[in-house]
Amino acid sequence: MSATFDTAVGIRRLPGQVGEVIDRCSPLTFTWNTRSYQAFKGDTIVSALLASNVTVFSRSFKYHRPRGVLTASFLDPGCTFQVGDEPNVRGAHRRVEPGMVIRAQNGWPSLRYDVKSVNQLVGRFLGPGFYYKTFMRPERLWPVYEQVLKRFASGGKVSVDSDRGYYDKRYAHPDVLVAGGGPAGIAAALSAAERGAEVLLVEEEYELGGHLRWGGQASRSALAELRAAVAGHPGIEVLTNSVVTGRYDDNWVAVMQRRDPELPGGGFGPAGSPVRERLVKARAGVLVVAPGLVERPYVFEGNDRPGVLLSTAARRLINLWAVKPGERAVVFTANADGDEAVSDLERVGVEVAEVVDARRGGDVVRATGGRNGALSAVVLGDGTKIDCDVLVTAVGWTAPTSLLNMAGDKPVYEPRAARFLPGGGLPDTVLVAGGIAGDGSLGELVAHARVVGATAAARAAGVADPAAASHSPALRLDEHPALFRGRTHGMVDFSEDVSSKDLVAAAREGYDSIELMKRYTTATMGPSQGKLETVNAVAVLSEVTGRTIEETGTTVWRPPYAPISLGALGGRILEPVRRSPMQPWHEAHGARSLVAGQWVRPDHYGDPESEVLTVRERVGIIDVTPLGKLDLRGPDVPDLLNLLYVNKWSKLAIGGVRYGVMCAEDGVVLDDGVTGRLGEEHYVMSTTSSGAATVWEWVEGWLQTEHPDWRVHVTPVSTAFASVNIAGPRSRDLLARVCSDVDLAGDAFPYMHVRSGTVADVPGCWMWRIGFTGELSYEVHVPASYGLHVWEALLIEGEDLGVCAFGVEAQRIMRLEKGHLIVGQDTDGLTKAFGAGLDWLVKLDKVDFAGKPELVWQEREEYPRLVGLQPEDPAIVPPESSLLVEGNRIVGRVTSSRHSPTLRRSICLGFLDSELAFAGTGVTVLLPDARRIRARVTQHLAHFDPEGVHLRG
Amino acid sequence: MIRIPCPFCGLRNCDEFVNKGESKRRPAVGAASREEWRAYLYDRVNPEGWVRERWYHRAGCRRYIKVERHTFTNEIRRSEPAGT
Amino acid sequence: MADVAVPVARSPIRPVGGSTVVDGWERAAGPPRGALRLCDLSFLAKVQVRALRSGTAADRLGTGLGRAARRSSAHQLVIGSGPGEWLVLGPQGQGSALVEELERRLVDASGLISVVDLTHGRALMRLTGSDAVRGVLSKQCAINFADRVVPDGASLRSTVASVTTDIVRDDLGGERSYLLHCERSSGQYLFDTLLDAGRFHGIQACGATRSDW
Repeated sequence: MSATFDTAVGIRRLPGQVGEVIDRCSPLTFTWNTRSYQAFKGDTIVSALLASNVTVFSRSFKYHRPRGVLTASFLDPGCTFQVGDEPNVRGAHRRVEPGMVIRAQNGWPSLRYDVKSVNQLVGRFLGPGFYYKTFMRPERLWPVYEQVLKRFASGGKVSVDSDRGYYDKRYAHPDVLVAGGGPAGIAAALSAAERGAEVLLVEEEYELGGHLRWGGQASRSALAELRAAVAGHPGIEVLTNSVVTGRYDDNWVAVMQRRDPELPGGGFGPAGSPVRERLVKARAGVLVVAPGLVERPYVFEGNDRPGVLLSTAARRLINLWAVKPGERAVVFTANADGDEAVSDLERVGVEVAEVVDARRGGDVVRATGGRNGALSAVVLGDGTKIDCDVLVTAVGWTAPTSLLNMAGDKPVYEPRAARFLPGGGLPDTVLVAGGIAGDGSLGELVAHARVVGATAAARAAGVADPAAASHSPALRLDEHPALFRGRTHGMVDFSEDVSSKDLVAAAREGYDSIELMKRYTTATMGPSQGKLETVNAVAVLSEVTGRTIEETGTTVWRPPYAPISLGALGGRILEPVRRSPMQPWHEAHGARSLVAGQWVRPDHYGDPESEVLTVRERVGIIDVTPLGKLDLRGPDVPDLLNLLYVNKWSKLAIGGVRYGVMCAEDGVVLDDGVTGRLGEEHYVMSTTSSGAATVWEWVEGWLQTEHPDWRVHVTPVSTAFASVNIAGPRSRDLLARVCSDVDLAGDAFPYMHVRSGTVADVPGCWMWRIGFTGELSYEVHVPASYGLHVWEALLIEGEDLGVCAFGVEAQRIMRLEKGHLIVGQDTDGLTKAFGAGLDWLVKLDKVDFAGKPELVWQEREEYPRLVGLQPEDPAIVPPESSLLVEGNRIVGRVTSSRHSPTLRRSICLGFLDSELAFAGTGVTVLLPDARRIRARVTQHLAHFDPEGVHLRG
Repeated sequence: MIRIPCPFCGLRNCDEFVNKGESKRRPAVGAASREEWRAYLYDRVNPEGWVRERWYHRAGCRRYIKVERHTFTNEIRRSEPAGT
Repeated sequence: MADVAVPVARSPIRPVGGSTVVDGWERAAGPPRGALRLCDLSFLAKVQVRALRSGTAADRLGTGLGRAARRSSAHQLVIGSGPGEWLVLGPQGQGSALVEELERRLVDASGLISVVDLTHGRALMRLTGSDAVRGVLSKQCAINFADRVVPDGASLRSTVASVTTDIVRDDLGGERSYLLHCERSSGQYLFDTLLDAGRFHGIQACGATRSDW
């Protein structure tokens, strides 16, 4: 080992390389498994560690074999780390930052002495389906198995206390979105932008350029020109360290943008932006797929030893990060890129002991290792054994066709080139450029991409397609030897630890279709998601079955193409909440809040039972603003009401109010509420709070689709009015103090009537005399901007009457005491109107109304009935949803239950089979703790004041 | 995410709309047999191919529209206001 | 009613940076105005008109679906907010007067006409600044706000941060500006969410000035 390098910056660090991306003037320090290391700005975690001669980064998933660098890119299967709080960081991609704390993820107790590597010794027992077969029986041991398996599984640690971070989302509307910022992607982007298209150019690495970045002088100068052109074009937005993760219907394209600490604001705009990751939802006019090609590993014995790496990995390490891959190398090459790797290695002083040329029949058979498992020698096809610490393979390319699959294409295998190509099934809005489309010189690829870019711009603009007339110059296809597996067995899936031997075994067990084999062996299902291993897996399977690769086919690539963090999917927490104008008062007065259907509401102000007693004895006010309110205008409103409700509406006088129930067309109770007539052609309908939106939509549906001839306008005014219910024996006295222009006397303003007037000096208020709580009560609807004013006025004016504010819980108790059902609480998606005790309301003599035929049939049928129930033991409140049983037979359920402070006992509503639904019947309630208690069916649904004396005040 | 060409608002993401299912004719209430009514409520053709369906533009113009959509390709060849 | 104060109308949006009462409406006093700013205009009168999609009423209102135009003589902004639906914005306190005026103007128009004062039922805010789209709207709304799609004077309804919102492009003296109009109860949430989105673009909540209306 040479001692000429400064150990502080890494003993494998080379002198300055022309295209290097590290900044030697900016050294930094980080921690790897508790030890401190040095790096340069621009290093990835892996390049920094390699420079310091750290060569083993993880233990493999199943057999716990040592793993080093393989691809030196995002995909590198053995280079996944825990960085601070963040698990599963791709260490061969992520740039190292000052002070980073990095730990190996899958080595227990340490990387060097991995207890679980005994799995290697029992490898033959860990064949395909091992876990399925072993951890099955007996069932009672499943929890134990889970613990064992958890310890063996890879993956980092997520701390529940870790900072949740700032994740963001953004919508984009590029005319042309280019996936891949290599030379072809850049050329396509430039050509599209020159034709006026707005272009989003997305590159997975930190810089544009693709393979030009680690090429020779010609590549570097071509790249400099391309980069300058992009920088000079305002029509191109570049996202680096970003990846297209999926293409969905209508070119809806998901882009994961990751933070780049080198860019201002991390690449997210203004300085100081804390965004970690951003999900860009792009609607692209045309998508140009230009991801380049992924180099494929070769399958042979020992191919996963640290020291065996791809030609692109070797060239990236040398040229981008100035890291020497080793001291003595063997290169196995089948193409020009392998040959380039030989010159790169020689140039930086690596001794190339042997170049094994596959084009001339050369082969590698086995990589053997020393005590630490790392590569020590290679055995060639002719049996020669050569000592070395690096084996570079260049056996061919995989086309990453994921986005094409997602766009509906079925890529086809081209044996001559030994790779898959687009299958011709792409929509007009998806084009391909670069290596995924074919072969050529840099000039030819760029020229082709420029035509693709021009076509994309034209199609996005909806103008004549220049390429359609004169078919774009197709790229040629170079011959490439088909090299997948050699004559020994080796690793196919490096992430999932699946060897070619496992695949052969699986095929022999009958899993001989690629989709079955994938799921049985988990090959291609690991973090690299098939980009390195799919084609090798297909090749091994075709070997076993004697089919060709074309006949075998591939698995289907599905989104996401690259991993997406849950934080990015979540983005900022946008949970809409709705507030009444009085909500600030509630919060300032100790309200315990609840959220119901987006509305924040006061549940109670400390003691709901005392709120109930205040209302029953004196007077209380509740904020019922969320109640749905629809303003109905027009001459045909009565016809509409007759259609919507099960009861009759033709004779409602001005100033009158009626309760109504709506059923859906299947006869199930949909909503209820009161509707009042304010003027000749002016009505207001109230709905439940939760049903407000649904009912509006339903009403519009009837008007727009069945009765477009009816002259009715519906306007939702739920939040135009703040609504306050004044309830209790003193409610009339209280309202009289703030309202002087309406005669509130019992006979002038009777129960179930509506009046307009001025409340607390606010004109334009409606007052409804109705009563959900069972007490004399007025529901006052105030122009919402004055809601808080009126609320405060009522509390001040009612102070000597003993007024209190009450919340939703007190109202629920009172309505239950009164036996009023709540749609959605006491009813569900099966509740028939007749069963809910609404028989008295349904008018089957009306010609038509929603759900009428079902109600006609219902009338003659048996169905569970809504009943009042009182437990024999008044202290027991059966939880809602407790079952009603006869022996082991379920005969009903409790839908609502509370302790009634008025009656000082427990009370319920529930559904009960009709043959038992009679006053006085005893039933058994099965409590969740398995106790059985007795309860009795009450005479009326109302437990309190069934005659309505209080209500009519 | 597919886009729906709203006859009033233009092309919009489908998450602004609610799919109300295949267009069904409501049988005459007095005359409908149980079978006809239940078919109206529950029977859907659900083809792989062209379907006439109703969408409601909930977060847009709040109009019900009739759309002809191909259930496999999601192509939409016709879109018009309901009740026309 | 000695103890009860004179009625004060309050916006659904809490005033930021102190408040004053202007002609019976509580309004944000607001800090100085920045390059990207959000102000509450909920105090403006808002009236909805429904009429036939085309016909005398539509002609007299003069603004087609998807457009917004000023009747500067009357300080009104007439927005074609839906098919057969218009939203008319007017000065603070003019709600009832606006209803009467519109009813008078449309009294003999064909078809059913309804005019509803929604002043108290909606929240209205204005987002102004060259970064309004890039820094705020593009994070929360799927609409393409490019000039050729949504030019000055365009109006549309979509969702912003999951809230159904009318959006009107209404530039102020050449500066990019949008009016956002939603259900009153969602106003505070929408306002807060816009501020959150624009935080790192220097967004400021500020009081409305004469130039905002």
